[in-house]
Amino acid sequence: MVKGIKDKVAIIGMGCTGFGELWDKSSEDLIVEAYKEAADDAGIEIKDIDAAWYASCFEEVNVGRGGIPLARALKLPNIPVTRVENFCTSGTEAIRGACYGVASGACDIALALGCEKLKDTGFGGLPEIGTGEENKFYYPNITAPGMFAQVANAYFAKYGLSREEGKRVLARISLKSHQNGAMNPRAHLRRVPSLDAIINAPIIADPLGLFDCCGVSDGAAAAIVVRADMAKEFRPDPVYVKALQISLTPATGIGHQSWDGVHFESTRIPGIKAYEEAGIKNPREEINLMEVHDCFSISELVTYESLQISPMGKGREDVEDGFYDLDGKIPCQSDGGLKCFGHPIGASGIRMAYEIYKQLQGKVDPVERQVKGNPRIGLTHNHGGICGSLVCSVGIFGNEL
Amino acid sequence: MEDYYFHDRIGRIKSFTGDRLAFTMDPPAMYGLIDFDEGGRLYLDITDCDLDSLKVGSSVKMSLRRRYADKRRGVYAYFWKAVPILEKDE
Repeated sequence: MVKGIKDKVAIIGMGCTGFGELWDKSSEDLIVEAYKEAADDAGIEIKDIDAAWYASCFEEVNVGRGGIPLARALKLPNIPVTRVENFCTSGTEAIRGACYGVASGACDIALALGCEKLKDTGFGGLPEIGTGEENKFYYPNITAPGMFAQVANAYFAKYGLSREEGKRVLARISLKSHQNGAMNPRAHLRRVPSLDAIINAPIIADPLGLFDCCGVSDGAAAAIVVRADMAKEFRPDPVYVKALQISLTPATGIGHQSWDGVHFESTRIPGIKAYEEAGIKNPREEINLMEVHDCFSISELVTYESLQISPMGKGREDVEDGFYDLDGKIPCQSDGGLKCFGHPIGASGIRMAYEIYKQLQGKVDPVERQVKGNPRIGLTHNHGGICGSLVCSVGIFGNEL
Repeated sequence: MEDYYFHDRIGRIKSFTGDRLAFTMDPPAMYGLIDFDEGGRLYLDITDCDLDSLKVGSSVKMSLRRRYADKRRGVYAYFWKAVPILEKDE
């Protein structure tokens, strides 16, 4: 049995910029800002960093290729800097690289930093993603909302929800995130629309409306990782990494009817492995809060079920019961999620970890967003790609050894 | 390995959307995941219908259609699209 990453490494400092349309800041400004907050939080200097992992997805927009943008912005002194890209899991991949690097003994102090600056394209939605030559010839012009809209229609059909019932459940998910995000000074979108406004918003890809979709954004986030046994030299309240899993489907589901068009094996399987790695027997009882990949409201709903927090087909009941609200059993998106932060892809996974880190330390800004009951275990989740052919990451973090 | 043809197979809509973000000459772009009755599935454009008429489970037939036309360069591309089977056809 593989022993895994549990309790081998700890996060001792994190930083996260405000996300938004940051016309007045360059990607270098964002990198420096996220790094400085993390370094000050950890009490380290540039010379202490042994290696860095840098996440960005769309090198064509703004940030550039390779690890050089990070090395240049921070003036890292001839240390290894690895750029990672794996669609929407890119940020979590950077954390994974830093954690594995430290756990291997190759370095003692590692930096994981993700930055993306997408608003400068001037249009909504993501830039075109290279899908390989073959797809161009026969694939429909599938967009990200169109992809998840199909999951929504398949979900409604499978569980017998009318379009109106389905849209109401999805709206409730977005409303909850907007209520949390409105309190968060770092969030991009900080107003709370009414439930009716969410339900009746213009359609982006049927049945998903404007408020079912997260936007793109500019932002950066950073984490400083050390060996677990060193962590208390830096601070009394480090956050320990309990599990880091990543999974890619073999994409049989897009050509074979084995996939139900609704639930994601790419989430279910790394979920199981992460619970095993972290020693979690009953996730619904043991996870205290989550940040999941709510690129679309339906994505959050099927993730509740694919992560086995809600039983299959029963996510709706938990949503309506307020199970995932800030004062619910497992608050989900206590920072507002992608819904309110937008999705600067390379930064998102680290932004989620930032929220879990602050929540586990009891240092959430402002205190009104603090999850009650001294949370001990938090989970982050990302997925990206084409539904049925996804990459998914699950991270579990805890504040006790 | 034997050739296997899908063009005369009946498919069913596993899921679909009408996408207003995707570029198309005739919005919304309708497409979906099509399951063939004898096995196999493909993401396909859906055409010759209104979005309101689409339902999960309704049947479609294949039709070879123009996917794009670049008149300036003289490049035209064709591929199969899914066309809902109307009741009067059945």
